Amino acid sequence: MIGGRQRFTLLQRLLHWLMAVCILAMLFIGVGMVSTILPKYLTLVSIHKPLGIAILVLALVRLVVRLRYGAPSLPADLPEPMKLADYLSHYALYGLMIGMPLIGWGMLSAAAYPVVLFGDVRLPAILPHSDSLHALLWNAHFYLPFAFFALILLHVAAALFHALIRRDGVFGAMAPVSTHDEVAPAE
Amino acid sequence: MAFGAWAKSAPWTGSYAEERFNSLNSFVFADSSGAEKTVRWSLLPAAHPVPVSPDDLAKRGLDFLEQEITERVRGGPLRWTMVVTVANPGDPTADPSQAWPENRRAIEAGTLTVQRIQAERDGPCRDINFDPTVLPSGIRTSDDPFPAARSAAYAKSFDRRTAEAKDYPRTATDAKP
Repeated sequence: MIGGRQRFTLLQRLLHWLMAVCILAMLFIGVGMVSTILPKYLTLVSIHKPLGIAILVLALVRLVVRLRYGAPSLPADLPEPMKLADYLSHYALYGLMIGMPLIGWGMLSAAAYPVVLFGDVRLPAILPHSDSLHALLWNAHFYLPFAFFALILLHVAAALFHALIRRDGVFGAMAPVSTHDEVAPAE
Repeated sequence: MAFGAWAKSAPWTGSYAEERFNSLNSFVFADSSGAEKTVRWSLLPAAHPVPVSPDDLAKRGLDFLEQEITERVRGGPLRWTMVVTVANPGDPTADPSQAWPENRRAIEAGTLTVQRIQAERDGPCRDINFDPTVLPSGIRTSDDPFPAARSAAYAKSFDRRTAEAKDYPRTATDAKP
């Protein structure tokens, strides 16, 4: 943590909002993909794979940026349980942003599918061909997104709680544009 | 309907080596200049078909086709010619149940040579999902909706199969009834 700064850096805010769009799109593409046998199945799968790798790359960049620039301090008067929830949920979010694409990539590898990004661009296998690994990773890739989605809803709820109820500047730290009302609440 | 009529009238043979295999689904092939054509492919047997009556076939073992092809390949490689049939504009490329007219351009595209037969149980093919949309460069899916449907359904069945792989042991000695 680097104290004193009120907001995340511009790069951090850009990465946050870009990834928010990518991940939400990804969750709905995933659900749509496994719910259809129409030709759009192939289109959705062909978006799902490169988008997943893009999220993995963005998440790794973001992790490095976070380690380099830190985050604005939480308000001193924030209750301890909420601070703990903040730390834990952010570890979980980073874990899922990096873990989900790796699980997907590993799952395709374990099934010996070609991992096609686009056209002839393919990624190497990261795991050996294995039935048991495939079954395990497939289940993880199916169930973890529900946890991911729940965590995102919690994240949004917490952001709105900070923005609308506590008005403590936490939301403004990641808001895409500067929001003065958190610094000096109206009324 | 057409298949039912064909199955009743067509000569039966006693070997995979004497059979013709058809893709049914259409795919888009690119030629060397990059121009794309919608095609269906067939594998035509090099072996001459010997008709066998259904009554004779009924007397053979349940897995006689497997036994026969294994035995036959031991005697030397077997070949099929891959023939690609090009659709004319307006042909029903999206409906695998509709035959195309007989006079369509057919191109010999290659030869399939089978040199060895491996049993499913302990061979390398058992744990592969043969997904019809996993295609090499130069071939892509067409407006035929079935390969996509097969891909989606096969992925699901592959997921279920791999989850139960421990109940399908690789060697006969592992098998517990």
